[in-house]
Amino acid sequence: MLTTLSLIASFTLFPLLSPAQQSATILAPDAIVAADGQLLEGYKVVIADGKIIEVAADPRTAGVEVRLHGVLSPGFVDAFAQLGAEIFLTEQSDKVTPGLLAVDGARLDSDAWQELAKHGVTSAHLVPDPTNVLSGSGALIATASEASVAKVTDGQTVQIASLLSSSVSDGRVGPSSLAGALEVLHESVATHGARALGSLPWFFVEDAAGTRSVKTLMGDLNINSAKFILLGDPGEYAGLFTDELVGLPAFGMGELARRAELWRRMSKANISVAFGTRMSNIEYNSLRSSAMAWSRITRDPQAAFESITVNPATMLGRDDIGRIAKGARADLVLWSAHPLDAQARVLATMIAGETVYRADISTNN
Amino acid sequence: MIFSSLLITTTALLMQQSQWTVDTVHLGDGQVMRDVLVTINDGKITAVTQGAGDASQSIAGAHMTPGLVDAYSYMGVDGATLEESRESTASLKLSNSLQFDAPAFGYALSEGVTAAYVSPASMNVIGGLGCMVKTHGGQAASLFSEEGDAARLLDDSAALKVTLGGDPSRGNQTGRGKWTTSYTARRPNTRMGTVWVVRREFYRALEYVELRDSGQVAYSADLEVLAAALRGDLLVRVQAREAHDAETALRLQEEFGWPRMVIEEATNTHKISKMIAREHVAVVTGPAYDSSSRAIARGPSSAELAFAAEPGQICCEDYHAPGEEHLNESGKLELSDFALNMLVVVAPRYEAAPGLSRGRRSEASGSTPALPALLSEAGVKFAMGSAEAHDSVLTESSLIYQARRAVRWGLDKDIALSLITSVPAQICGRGDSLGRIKAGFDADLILWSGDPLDPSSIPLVVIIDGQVVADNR
Repeated sequence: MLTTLSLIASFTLFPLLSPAQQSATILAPDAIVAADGQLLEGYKVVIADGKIIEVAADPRTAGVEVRLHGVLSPGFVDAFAQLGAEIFLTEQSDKVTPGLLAVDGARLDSDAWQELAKHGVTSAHLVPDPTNVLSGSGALIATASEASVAKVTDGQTVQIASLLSSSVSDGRVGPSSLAGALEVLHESVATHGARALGSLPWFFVEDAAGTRSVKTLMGDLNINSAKFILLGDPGEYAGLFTDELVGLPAFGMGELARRAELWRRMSKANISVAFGTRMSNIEYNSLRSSAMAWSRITRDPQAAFESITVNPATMLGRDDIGRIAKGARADLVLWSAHPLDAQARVLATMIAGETVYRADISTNN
Repeated sequence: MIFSSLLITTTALLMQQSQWTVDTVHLGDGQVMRDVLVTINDGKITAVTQGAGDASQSIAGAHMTPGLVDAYSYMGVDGATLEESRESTASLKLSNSLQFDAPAFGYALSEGVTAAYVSPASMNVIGGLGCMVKTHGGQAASLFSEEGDAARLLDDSAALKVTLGGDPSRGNQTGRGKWTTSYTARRPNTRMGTVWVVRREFYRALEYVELRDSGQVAYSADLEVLAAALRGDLLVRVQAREAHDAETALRLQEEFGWPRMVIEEATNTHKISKMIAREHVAVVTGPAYDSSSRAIARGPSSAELAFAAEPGQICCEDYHAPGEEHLNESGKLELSDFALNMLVVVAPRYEAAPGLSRGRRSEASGSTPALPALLSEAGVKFAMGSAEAHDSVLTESSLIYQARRAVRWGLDKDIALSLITSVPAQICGRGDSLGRIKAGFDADLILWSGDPLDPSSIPLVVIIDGQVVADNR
């Protein structure tokens, strides 16, 4: 009875928070999930103006304390998504379209974003479809806001480049071979300098030849920050990424079995991953289920948790999302248990200090 | 001799003075006056005073409003005005290819619309210059028309049309991994591509402005127009039906610093009304969206109905002529799926040629009839437009109808009237001459049989520039 009452109390207090509040709010959950995926009990998270200003067992900041029954986790980050956008992110009129912005094709009022927030994903990196050699820039989207539409965090993140068969197969408005695509990249760089690729280019690759070529090109240009998304069968070429951080598509549970050996080998080669959902019709839970599978297959729960929190943020060059730490944005999700526990459910989601989703109380009693 | 007599006639017309005594006058700015004498001289309103005049005309129980100003319309826009050869046709003037004799202007007039902004179509990204017209007083081309029975041009460069959203790329998509062989392949097929065209052209214009003064670049009519928009000499009107397209418009305004921008056909902006109110960007809504029929509440014209009654002329196996079951209580055709399909079949000019309403049907599907009330509540400055509503004779979505509908869905009555009179006049840059009953303003006046927002009221007398151009007494 007492539990039920305090549960109701926690739900009634949670939505009262808003970033307009000047005074700090102290969230006191049963436990928080640290950056390494471990549960820490007895810690409190102090938020003000949409940010986390202190994480401590006994915070010095004064404020209203809110007792939360559940586990507080950082919101998940989808490394590369095309959610809510469908075909509006596949520009076919040219094969070199570095000026496009994914945010211009984003359906920010699509229900899909809300669904992500309900499944614990608070940030998604929307990317143009990598079907052009240079496809344009991605956008970092906060999946929900007070106006119940998704909100743009950064309208121009990284340049999406790709050396996939789909991006070099045309021959009419673009190159028809990998060699041709590389020529386009070289030309773009020769014309506009390394800035043509942005300071932090992301390459979608699917084979060893393309990967080696891009790595050589990046070496020539002295760009150390290039990141790679591994499509196709990464088993054939992931050996080129030992000790690196790469993007990997999240998959539905059905396909995981045949990926198990690959993931085990990637983990052994010390390759860190950041999961992304890519296509719009993926299940909303696929980020979390991929991390759970990674944990089970590689027996490395830390890497698994990082693959959907810190790693995608690092790939984007950001330290203000994907972690519960001082200075980070208050993107927090209250779970009924550790988020990588199969039984865990989302009780509430907060983005930038604002409660954007609460589970229906009746279903949680 | 002929010339001088013509001059005398014209002068006599212009010097014409008249006075009206009216029970209720809606001034256009939201205020109402009772027992008013309105004096008209030289086509202008010269005095608005309390009381009655000796030689004045009057209609018992009539309400007077300013002539309605349509903030956004496609009257007289047809296939001839649609340029698709380039994505930016910034310097094309719609007025050069507008059908000033189109029946739409007459229909609009009969519904009380005396002035309108006419927009270029939305099939390319930067569509060109829209114009301001009065719905009467132009030179009629047909020998069978009454004198003045055509639209009159007020301004051929009222605003620059920029289209965001699906319209410019509509039909350009191909299957995943497949490529078009048609000319549309060179065009944008995504919203991203559409926005890139806007940005590319304005970046070009910025560069052009720098090089032009030192004579390093050849004159470009298109870029001159964009430069005028960058300076603020020209209003930029961005069509953005969906909320995220309106957000894109706000981003573009920030990027290029357009001093004057209006978001038009903003059917879904209630979702981001606070953001728009914060940015102080004016909005034009409309046409009224009818969610039950998934379409604009507009009936087919009598000619279209007659055409539809001859199924033999169209090859359709499943064709059914409209029976009585499709007519509502007032004898008008219900816009069921059936009627919509019929419109597609019998009236392709509304669907394909201007390409106007097809995109709206999908993009505006998130709209609500309470849109005006919601925008008003959020403090957004906005006006209403009819789009193609006046194209047909059964103007169920005419401007006054939209105001009535907005009132039914929660908008204040006086505000509703100002949204089709003084506010659109301001948004269209005519706030000093149109849309209000005030000394010094154009004598464009409507005498209604009752309260204009009462569905049974009709315009009894329409006055444009002091002339009675329609009299239904």
